[in-house]
Amino acid sequence: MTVTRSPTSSVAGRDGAAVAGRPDVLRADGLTVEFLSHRGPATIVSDVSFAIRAGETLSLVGESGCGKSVSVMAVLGLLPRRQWRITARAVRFEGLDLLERDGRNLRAVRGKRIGMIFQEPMTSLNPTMTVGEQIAEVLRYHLGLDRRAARAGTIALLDRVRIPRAAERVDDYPFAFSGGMRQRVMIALALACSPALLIADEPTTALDVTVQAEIFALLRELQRETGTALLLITHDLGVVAEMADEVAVMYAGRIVEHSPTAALFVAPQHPYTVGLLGASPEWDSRSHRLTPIEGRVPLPAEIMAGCRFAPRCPFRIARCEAEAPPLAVIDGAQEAACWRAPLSPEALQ
Amino acid sequence: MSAAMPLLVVRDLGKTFVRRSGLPGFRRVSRVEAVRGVSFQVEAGETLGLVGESGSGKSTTARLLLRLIDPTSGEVLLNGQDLAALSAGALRARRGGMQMIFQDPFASLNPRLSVGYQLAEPLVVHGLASRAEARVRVAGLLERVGLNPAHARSYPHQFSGGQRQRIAIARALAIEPDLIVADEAVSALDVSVRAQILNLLADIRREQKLSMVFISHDLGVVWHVVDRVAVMYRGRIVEMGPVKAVFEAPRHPYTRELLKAMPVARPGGRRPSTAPAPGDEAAAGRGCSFAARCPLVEPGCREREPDLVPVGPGRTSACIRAGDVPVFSLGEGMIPPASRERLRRLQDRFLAGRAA
Repeated sequence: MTVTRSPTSSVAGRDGAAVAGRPDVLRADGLTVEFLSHRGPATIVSDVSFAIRAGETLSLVGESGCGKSVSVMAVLGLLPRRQWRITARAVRFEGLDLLERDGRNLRAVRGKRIGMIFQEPMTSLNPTMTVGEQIAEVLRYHLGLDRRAARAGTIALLDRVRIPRAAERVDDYPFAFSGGMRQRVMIALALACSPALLIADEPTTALDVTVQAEIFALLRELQRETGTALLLITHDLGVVAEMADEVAVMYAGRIVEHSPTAALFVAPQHPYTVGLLGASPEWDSRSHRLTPIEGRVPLPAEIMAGCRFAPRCPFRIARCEAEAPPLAVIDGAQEAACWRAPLSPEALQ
Repeated sequence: MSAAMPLLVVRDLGKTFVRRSGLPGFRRVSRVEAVRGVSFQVEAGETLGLVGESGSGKSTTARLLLRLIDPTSGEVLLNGQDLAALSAGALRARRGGMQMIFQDPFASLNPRLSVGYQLAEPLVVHGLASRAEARVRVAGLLERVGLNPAHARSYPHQFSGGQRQRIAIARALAIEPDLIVADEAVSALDVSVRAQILNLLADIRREQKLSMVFISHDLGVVWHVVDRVAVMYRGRIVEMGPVKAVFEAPRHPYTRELLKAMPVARPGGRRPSTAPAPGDEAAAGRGCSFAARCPLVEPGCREREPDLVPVGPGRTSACIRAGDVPVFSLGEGMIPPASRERLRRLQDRFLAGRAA
């Protein structure tokens, strides 16, 4: 096992542009996001880097307030500039610089080359328009289709996300759809322009597990057909296990562990990940005692010099409180930001 | 099994919501049978889980238990007394025996009252303590749920979600109820905090011999909390029994589909589902309401709705093919033994390090 620590080590920095011949679709390098309040700037996301390749799924996982959604909103330019300050070494989507000031590149790709699905399909759809009108609008605006072609395209899309009787349902309003069916409409909207990247922020959190399983099966199938890259934001490690090729665990605005999905569950290398796995109740585990992580996530104002997890970490040493550990390669493709990694039960006695 | 009456007896509980819509002369009346023929018992010190998807009638059942809404049929006996037969005043007095914890601790605490006031209020209302005594009891309650007694002077907005849920638990415990009804009490919490609250509930239950009806859609959580579980589908209980037995060898196909659909935090994730999703099934006429989604369906299923009948020690199922439901197991093969051992020992160290 080799441990190399380099200050610039990061998810994206692991292997330049291409792994296995696939180009990066999206690459964020050193993304920092600050919220400008009347008390001064608060850092919500610091120095986060990630990259997604075509046809692959990257999951950002973490608890509320860890910065997973804010990172993505920042990349998409969805945070109002008056309240937020976004800095990064680079944010590139298919070679385009998304941080460029006038936002022209962003407008060109958002909704067209990048599709988005949000948690609550009822509030993301316009209740006063039929679902067909809403999808057709996207086809006409982005692809310049005429009315008739847009309607035909809309029906084909609804069919593609397996909405039964698509040709009839195209004229229904959102309220006439169940939660799962509404989320299918959202997926149809996001896929309307054959995006290179699909961003899904907690897409199934509001849905029953049986419906959730269906939506994920659909997303995987569509991904296979189209080669779309998927950036999946979730708090649920079970969802990560099912969907992701790679996973980045976030804590208090930083990526603390990044690895191929299987490795994360087989051999977690950051104490926070170990804690999260122990705190997730599973119905067939033998132990009836969960291992909660004591304390709570620090507020942005409480963040100090060292590792942000140190106050809750049972493995902390003096160095953890003084100096923040960088994300460093631990084993093969696995990276962790922890002075004590690689974790071994013996060394922690 | 004691010869004494169980703490809570629910018999043939039903609730039909009637909705009137349309203009005068064109009225339409639609009826929704949210809960039908629900019967169960909870012994003193026991926790019963109610699981099912949204719309299965879990929350309606909770509200019927506390008589926050009136049942259309059936009865709820707490300590042998029928709550439905009580007058409003007598009901208010009896409700002290039962308390509820809700899902959203942001909505269930009054933002304009201090935490101390909100915890003291039930004590004073139920005549259990004077104002001065209440203050002492409140300090004890806050410590009991892992908060600092000094927090009594703070307001709900000053607390995190997990802390608010602790306050809601303290409030439910304040008047020493016999039974707590927890409706999705940990669903809004983050994983690490959820484990804290689940362990707190487990400790309280053990130490105070409290009974609980624990409602959740999360089978993993239910596995860790309850003694017995009742699985609800479309307003009815379709399977009930000890949680270990029910989850390890379900006797109703719906229970098995629910278990299969749970996301699992290990390589590979959940098993692919075979059953068609809910939503487009036609409103069930005669027969089993699960027939449209059931992988084991046979012609007999569509003839009449099966009754909930005994299928084993302490177990009941409403399925005519109860004996044919295959065992469902996640297996352990996906994580190599050496890695599993390392993970287990790391988690032991994690717990030990925390205690130190």
